[in-house]
Amino acid sequence: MILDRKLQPSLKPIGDIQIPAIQKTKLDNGIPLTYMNVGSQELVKFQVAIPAGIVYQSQSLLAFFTNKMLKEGSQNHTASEIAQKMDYYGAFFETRITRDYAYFNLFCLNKYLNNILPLVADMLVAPLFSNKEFSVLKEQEKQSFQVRMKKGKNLALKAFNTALFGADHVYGSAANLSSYDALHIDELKDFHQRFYQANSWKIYLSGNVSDEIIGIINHYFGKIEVKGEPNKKPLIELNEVLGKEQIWVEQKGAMQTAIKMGCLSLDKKHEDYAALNLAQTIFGGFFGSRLMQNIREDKGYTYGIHSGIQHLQQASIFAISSEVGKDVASKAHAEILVELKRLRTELVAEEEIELVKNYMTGSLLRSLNGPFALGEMMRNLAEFDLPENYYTILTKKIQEVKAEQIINAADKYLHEDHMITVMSGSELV
Amino acid sequence: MINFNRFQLENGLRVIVHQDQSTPLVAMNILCQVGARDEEPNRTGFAHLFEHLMFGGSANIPSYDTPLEKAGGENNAFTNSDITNYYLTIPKENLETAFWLESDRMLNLAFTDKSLEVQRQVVIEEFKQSYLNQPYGDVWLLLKPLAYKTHPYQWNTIGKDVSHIEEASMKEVKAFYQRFYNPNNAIMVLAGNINLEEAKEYCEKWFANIPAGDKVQRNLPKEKEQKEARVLKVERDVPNDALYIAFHMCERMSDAYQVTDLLSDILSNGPSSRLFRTLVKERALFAELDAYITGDIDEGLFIFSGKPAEGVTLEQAEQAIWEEIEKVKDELIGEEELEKVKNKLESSMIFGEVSFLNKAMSLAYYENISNAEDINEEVKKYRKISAQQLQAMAKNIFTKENSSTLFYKARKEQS
Repeated sequence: MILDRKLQPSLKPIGDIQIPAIQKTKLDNGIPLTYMNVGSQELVKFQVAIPAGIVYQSQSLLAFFTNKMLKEGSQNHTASEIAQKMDYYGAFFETRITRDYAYFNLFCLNKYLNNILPLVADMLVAPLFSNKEFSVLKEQEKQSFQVRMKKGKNLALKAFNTALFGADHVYGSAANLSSYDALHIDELKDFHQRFYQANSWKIYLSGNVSDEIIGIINHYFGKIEVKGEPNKKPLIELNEVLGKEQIWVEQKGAMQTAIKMGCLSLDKKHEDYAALNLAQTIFGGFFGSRLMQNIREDKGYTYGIHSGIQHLQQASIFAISSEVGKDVASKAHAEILVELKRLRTELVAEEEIELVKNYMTGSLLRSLNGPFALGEMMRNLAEFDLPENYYTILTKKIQEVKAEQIINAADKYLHEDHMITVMSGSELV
Repeated sequence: MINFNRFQLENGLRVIVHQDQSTPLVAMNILCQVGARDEEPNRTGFAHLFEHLMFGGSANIPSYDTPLEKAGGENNAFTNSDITNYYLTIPKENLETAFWLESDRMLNLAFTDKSLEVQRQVVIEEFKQSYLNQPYGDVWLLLKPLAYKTHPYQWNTIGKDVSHIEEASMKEVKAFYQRFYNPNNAIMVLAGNINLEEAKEYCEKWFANIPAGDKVQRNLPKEKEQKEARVLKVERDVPNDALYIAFHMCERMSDAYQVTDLLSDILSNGPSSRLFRTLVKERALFAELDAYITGDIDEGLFIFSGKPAEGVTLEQAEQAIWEEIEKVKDELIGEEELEKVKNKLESSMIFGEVSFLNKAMSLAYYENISNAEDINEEVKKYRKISAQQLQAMAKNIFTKENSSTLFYKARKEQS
């Protein structure tokens, strides 16, 4: 038989997305535990989520450092003991701050949970907040901040957020070098006292989860004192849709110009979200997107360009990002505008729509694979108050989107006249 | 423990199959045994540029990405000094598309002028984005030629100079493909929701009739033993000073490799490691400090890299690193500390087995350096290491004569 190499093997419909059941229980003290039994290795990802992100702070960097200082010693264990034990039992841990939440994540082999969890509980409940460790950490973070601020893409992002929300807004404000020195250890202690009470915690567990493992968690976390009211979400107001705005941020000596462009966008529950999601993926959401094909693969202006929607608790942001050769920055910007206009004026061909729909299904399968990714998914559903079958429904909705809906969504939510454009570089060519 | 099967086609293509039914996807990893070390000194960056061209369409398929995306798949690739590695993941239903695409580009590329011209520009922008337009981005461009004088590891994967990429011609592109992109110079790993029979059937169908190429002969110049300390001082527009010290170490397949690697773990893996505890936390001399090995196939480098804390000079920082080095040379590492780094290594291996794509890449990596079976022997090799061996290794490699030091000074702003 002669092989026809020109013909793609026939494609079959991709199977339904199968997600293991999400289970919920409460520890003895009422802390909610959401878990999923998934994966073949004897290990778990353990996440504690606390609504104590940047929006809760009264001062720049307060939420960040309070979270970061959890690693730097507790009442019963020095920072060095904690590090020693974590490494000895081969556990990995990280603290992470977002605008809405503070997290403590642990990756641990099941057989060592009994050795590690008491440490974690102590780090969260009774951090030491040593002034010495804080000073050292502050100096280190200051240095890494200075390095970040030498990168065009970070300068552009900072200016973009400020323009989108306002400089005094909790979602728009950003740290300066002086913010580091302005912060004192007592403020961290207060912030912890106020926002890290266990009645605001939620625990997410994914991996090889048995009743025994849940018992161990309950043993170390179910006795923590729970009192008072859970943290209240601050009420956040957003700007009315702004007109077109262009901002230039100078960065001496830069060989490339960073571009950040976008606007406020739709939350995951909005009825047009599926259509918008499809439209923006066609536009810039994957390697084969129009932006990549035009600006990288046809013109070679950049190593990469992409767009995406980021969801905060009380705002969603659509943004396009790229770093382009400084001599072609204006040309690249013009091409972005061409593609935006095309998306809201020309019907997308059926073939392109089908390709992107399939790609999105495959992409979802990839992002919902394995205990770590599923743990993230589980937490995301809870934080955005979405039903357990959200992804199945979303996939189905995306499959049903028609070309007209894409045009409508693009015209309504991806209009260049309502976008902020920030460019950062040495000169605008 | 990772279970797998293997077979080989008549044209020399080696195939490894690992079944993991917990995922609805399949990963296909194709490791091509060519890297930056195989480049001519006046055409550096070529292997990486070529990696980009592999996505520019093949003889029978004008676009690589489009049909893959249509099948719900996604792909990427990377090049380093030793290998070029291509990988994709795809829903199991559409697996055959992966075989169709990968076999056609191994059979013959399209070689269009447009693809070469555009990817040349894209790579130049990548050069800027990752190396030239980044604070500290040129460190490797400085450090590697300082440490290597004869071996091709002296240049980076991205290339020595933008001009090498600008001057690459279509004739050279074709010759490179002819020489290296052959089934007998590649390793395929399939991992995920696939069984051995399917793998055999598709491999026979799509890959068996690709002709083998000539065996690749490699005569890389061996790096001469370094006899005296090398120092380079530069000034750059960065916020803080930085310090890099590189020592020559053994090749990947030496018995000494795991010992050297474990030594780097003692010094710098995890929050309890020596450099972090002592120099970053207790003495607060560094804002950041790492020690790691490059892990290359030929003789590699053991590298210290750090940014001194505010007010600490590069000379003080250098001295502090040497004090830690002397400590590990003079005093035997304790039992508990040794046990700790071994435990952590074992745990990292287990965590690495969570992702099916990661398993595919690891199997290909081991098959390339020796054989895939070694992946399941690795932990045992580390478990056997003694404190005496670590001390002997430290004494052996951490000498001034074997060191290349880069002082990367921040230019004081004129205000």
